[in-house]
Amino acid sequence: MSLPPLVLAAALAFWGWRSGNYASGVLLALLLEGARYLRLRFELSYLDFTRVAQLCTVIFIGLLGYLFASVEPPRTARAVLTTMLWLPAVLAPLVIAQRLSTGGLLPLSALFRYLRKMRERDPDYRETELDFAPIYCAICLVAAGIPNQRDVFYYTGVVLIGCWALAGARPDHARLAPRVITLVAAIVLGYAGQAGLSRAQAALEDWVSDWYLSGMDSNPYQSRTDLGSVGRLKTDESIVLRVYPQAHGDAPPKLLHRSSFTTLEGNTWVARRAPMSELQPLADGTSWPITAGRGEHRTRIFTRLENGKAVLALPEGTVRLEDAAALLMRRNALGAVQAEFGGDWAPYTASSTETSADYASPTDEDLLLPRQERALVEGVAAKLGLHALAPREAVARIHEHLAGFSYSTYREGSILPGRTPLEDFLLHSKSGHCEYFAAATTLLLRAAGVPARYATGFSVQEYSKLENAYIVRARHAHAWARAYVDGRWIDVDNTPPSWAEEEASRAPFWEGFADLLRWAQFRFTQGGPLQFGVGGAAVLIVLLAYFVWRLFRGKRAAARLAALPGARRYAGADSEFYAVEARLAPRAPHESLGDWLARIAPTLDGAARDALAQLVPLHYRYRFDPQGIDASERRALRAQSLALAARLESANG
Amino acid sequence: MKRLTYLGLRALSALQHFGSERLTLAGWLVLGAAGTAAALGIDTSRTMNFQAFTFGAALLLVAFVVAWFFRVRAGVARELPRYATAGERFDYRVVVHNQGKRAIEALSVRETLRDPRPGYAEWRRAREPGEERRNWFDREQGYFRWRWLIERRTPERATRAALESVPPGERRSVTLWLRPRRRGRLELDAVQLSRLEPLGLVRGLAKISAPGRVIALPKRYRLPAFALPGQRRFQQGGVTLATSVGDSEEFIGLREYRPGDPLQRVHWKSYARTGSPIVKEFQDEFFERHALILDTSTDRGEDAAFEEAVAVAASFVYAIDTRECLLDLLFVGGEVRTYTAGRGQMQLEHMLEVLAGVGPSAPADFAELARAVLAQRGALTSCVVVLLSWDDARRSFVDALRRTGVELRVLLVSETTQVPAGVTLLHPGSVGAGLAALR
Repeated sequence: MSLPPLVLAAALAFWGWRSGNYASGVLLALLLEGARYLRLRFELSYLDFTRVAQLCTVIFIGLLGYLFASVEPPRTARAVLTTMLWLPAVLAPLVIAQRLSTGGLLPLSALFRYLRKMRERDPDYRETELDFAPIYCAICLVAAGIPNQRDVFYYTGVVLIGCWALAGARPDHARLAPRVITLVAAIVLGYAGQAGLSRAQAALEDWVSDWYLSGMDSNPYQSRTDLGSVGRLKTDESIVLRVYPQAHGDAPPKLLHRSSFTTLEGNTWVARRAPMSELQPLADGTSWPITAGRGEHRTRIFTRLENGKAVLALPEGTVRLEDAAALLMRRNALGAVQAEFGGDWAPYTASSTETSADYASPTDEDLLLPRQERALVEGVAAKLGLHALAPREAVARIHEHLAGFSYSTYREGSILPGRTPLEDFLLHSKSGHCEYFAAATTLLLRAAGVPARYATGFSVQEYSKLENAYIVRARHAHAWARAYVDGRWIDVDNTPPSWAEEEASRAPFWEGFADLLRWAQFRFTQGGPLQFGVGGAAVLIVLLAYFVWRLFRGKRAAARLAALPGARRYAGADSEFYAVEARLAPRAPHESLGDWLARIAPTLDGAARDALAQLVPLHYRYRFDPQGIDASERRALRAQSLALAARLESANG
Repeated sequence: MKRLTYLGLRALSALQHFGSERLTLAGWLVLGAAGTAAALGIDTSRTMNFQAFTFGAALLLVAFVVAWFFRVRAGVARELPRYATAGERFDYRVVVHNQGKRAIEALSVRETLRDPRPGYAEWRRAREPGEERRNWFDREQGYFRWRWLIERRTPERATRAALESVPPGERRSVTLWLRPRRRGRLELDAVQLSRLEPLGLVRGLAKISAPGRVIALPKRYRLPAFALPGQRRFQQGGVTLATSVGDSEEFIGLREYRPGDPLQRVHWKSYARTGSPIVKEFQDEFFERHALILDTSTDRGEDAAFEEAVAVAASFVYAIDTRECLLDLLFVGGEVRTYTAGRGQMQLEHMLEVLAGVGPSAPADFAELARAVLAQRGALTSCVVVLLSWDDARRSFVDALRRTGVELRVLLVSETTQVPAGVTLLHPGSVGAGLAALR
């Protein structure tokens, strides 16, 4: 297939228009299409094409690396897309070299290292030559689609230029009418397909996000627990928060709250009647007041984001968020704050005070006991005499009772039929992980008439000297109860303090090394974009100019050859004998090899004369014999020519 | 897991075959562009590439649908030679007979070969030449081995040849060519007639069944003119099927027919006179009998050395003048097999045909071959032994042959650099030069 005239120019202009690189588009169009009409031609060998291809590879990799280091997150996707956007410019040298070469085709092995190695190894290797222009045209059309301009012109442009380019592939027997009908059918089908595809993706995204969020801890509406699950709880070492207390010597908050829940349904805690409402930033755009009051403690926190979003982990009594460049922030009455940032990590500073917390006042939901646990919880509450106690005393009694329980993330067998996980925990095993303690505390408090909620978040317990900060891992996720005592909500954490050591003891031995990598990655993501100044650009241009000069120097083909349209390389053009010839006295255009050798023979030594006498017939056969020469003769021609050339070179000094 | 890999390779080959048969260069370009656009436009809200993908996919879909409706009513006949030579191209004609009512226009003709994909056991068993140098992953996955197996089974074939317009009821011919990559039987399945759909992306195909077979004889090298040394030996009982009787006394008498006597020897006149079959009895003969012993015992499969050894044997079969002597070809193929040519017996082509089908045997089988050769050493004038390796078994075999006084020429086809005394070493890849130096 060969491209009709001007298609490449149209494709490049289209790319320039869609990507906003008008000047580059027009310049490349002029260069590439103009090369077709120039009489200037160069005799480029396979090695020259290889060098051009390698230059393109270097530019491609350099551009990708530069973009990866400098673009905003998500880096990989953006760097790849931007590199693809610039691919027509990156690959332009290949097409220019092809169009300015006397052969007019590109040897395939110039593009692939594997083929180059095969070519070097195998003397019988048959080179495939291809016209790179149609591939380049397709690349331009694809690159033009990367700028996300949602209009009809992209499809229109692709259709028009695509149909124009396909004119080059039209079979001779194809009549106009069937061809047009087929093309129209494809255009209509393609248009319907793209509309359908957009809708399908939207539907899929809805479905996936529903499914995805339902199992996530970051869902502020429900929290699925592992109550009753058999075996060891899985732990995840990855770092999800980095906490920097602002005041010197300040201890970090022990617990960072994310969400609270009111109702236990089976194994899942659910937040009832807690709709989200949007928070409004102050004039600086990065401060978000949550409630009235002044913060006494300031904690700087970096949170890891999932798809650019997070439910923020906040100290108890947070009144205000600062330095949080969020696009959107929402909060529910139970204290969960959801934020949308973009990127992988987001920083914010929480101002908190122990005396103030604007959480929703207790409702009936906060005193509700689930039907399947009611008898059990009331039984235990009666045994502990909780009804007779004041709220603060009830909290203390429950704490005292649960202090005799042990912490365990391992459960050997499934719960006996007829028992609930909480019943097993409270009456039989007396051992469990934080979810058991938190759920039991919440329900016992409710049985004692104290409004209580089930809270989830993180426990801050690990200080990293490497990072000079407190790091919070996914395995530090924690659950506790919130009790309404003396007119305010307080955190009640009855999980035995030994849980921190037990969790830490299960850390893998490579954790230190993994942390180092995590820290390096975190630092990298927090770095600013690289700047590529005028100086860098100037150096690049000079290097490029030098490369082009080196490549094309002395390669200009004779005008006679250039005048022949589509002149091809002749058979035997790669004979190494030419290397010998180049090192001897020049041969006149009218001289045959025999005449020339006879003329220069007196200037040569005996060994060189003998070697030439052997080489010339072999070279002639390689060049003109339709049968060619066999592999061993080809090897002999190569080896002897190169040896003689090297000898002449050293003799010439 | 291996079976899954095998199934994956089978599917991949089928896909490649499907694409290469149907898609034109423009079709491949559209497919590649649509694939790239799909990868870049996977998130339809991020780029507009999904539109380029749907257009490319629609073009291909429409082209495939149009090409699917291609039908042609035609018969095809090939004019194939009986023999070809491995590595050598041969031309043949294909005659297309239009059996429809309308002229056939713009057709291309191409040869179709039988499915070359190897079976699971063969794929597991085979070893590609130089496979031991491949990395662990390539050796485990066996993709390169798979490709090699397919390639060696598939001859190089002519590109699609354009057929001129064929009016109804008429015949037109095109010339195609094949170049077998290896010796052996070449099974041809059908001839493929194709026509491009109007967009020029996809070919409509019609396969016309036309089974055919060519035997690719082993590659042969030119041997220098040399006379096999040795003297004539007593051949007890002569050679029963010989049409010319070397040095035997004409005939020594008549006797009763015994079961097993050839019909050629029945003396019909006496039969007519006596009513019971009488045969002529000949004196035992004296003539030269040469043995060509091909060592097929190797654990490296049909590697380059093995193929070269067969080519060397074929070169000797071709070069020895068997009008006045006998040539025995001995090798192991399940058991020791002996084929005798010369003096009007088996034709040379048939012996080459035998060599075309030779395969490797177990390394332990060499002892059997050695025993068989030594058993008939008394009748042999000279031996040409083509060996694949040099070890104790082979050394003692060669020594034993030497001790019998049989003229011996030992050729070792191997990559080794150690040349044992009295042995001509031939390196795979430069066997031609090695043989040319034989004196």
